[in-house]
Amino acid sequence: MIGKGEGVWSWVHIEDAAAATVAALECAPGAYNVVDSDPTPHHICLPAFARAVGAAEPPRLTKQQALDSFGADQVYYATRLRGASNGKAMRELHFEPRPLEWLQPPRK
Amino acid sequence: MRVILAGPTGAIGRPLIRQLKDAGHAVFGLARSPESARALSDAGAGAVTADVLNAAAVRAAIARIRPDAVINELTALPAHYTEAEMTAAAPRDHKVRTEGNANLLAAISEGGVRRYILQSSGFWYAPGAGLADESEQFAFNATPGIAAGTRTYAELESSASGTPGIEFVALRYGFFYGPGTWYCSEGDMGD
Repeated sequence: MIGKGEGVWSWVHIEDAAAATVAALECAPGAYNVVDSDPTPHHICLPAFARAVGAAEPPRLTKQQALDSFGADQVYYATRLRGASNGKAMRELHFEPRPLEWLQPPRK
Repeated sequence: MRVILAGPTGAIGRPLIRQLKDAGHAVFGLARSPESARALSDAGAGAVTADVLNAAAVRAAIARIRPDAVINELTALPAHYTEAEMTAAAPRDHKVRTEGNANLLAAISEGGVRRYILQSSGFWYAPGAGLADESEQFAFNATPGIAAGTRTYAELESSASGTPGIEFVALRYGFFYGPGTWYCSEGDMGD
């Protein structure tokens, strides 16, 4: 865990990504966000992932500690990342992504 | 439809081949090695031997299969996610994506393929309020490794959308998780 972990992560289950790709054979040309419906702050999805795989609670680092140990990209991922909206894919690819499996129960 | 899949042995390859077949499509994977070709046959796909870095081989493969669509899921990401392996893999990943994209686009134009579907990123949008839709820019001013990645995706999309005569679809995927990805209990992050 880095800083406040406020970076927002858009995930997609590999099977849902494959389903959207099949649908993309017959959609209108253009760009589509193939992401889940509930992009999740890193401070929520990282501990949820750790719990889901039976790992210990992730250790906490300040941004400076993480910068020194892991570099600027990792700090960006944890604290700056922005989620994407999947409305277009849901409308036009009939995309129905599952809720992030590690969140039990789903947040919404 | 007849579909060529470039990058058929990556994380999305296996489920994608299965789902394409279930939907009634004929799937052909571009295989660099005999081992990949065997893996494709095991997965029920046709295999076309071609290194995506070899423009003539890609052209010949597309001329032979005459696909309706080409799906580009090419990456050269490491099986293990560590800072060192990511750094070591980055030059080849960039080369495979950019040269593979260029070679596929040239062959598609020449071969009269109707549709091109490209893997792009849905997790590298520029900072801003709320969730980003498809009209927003990538985070070109992010930290160096991420900024370089955003430039690569932008270049790939721009080359494809600038190719006349094809229907281009960019799929900006989120972070993959689930079987065969870094994010599953047997995967690298799970480890």
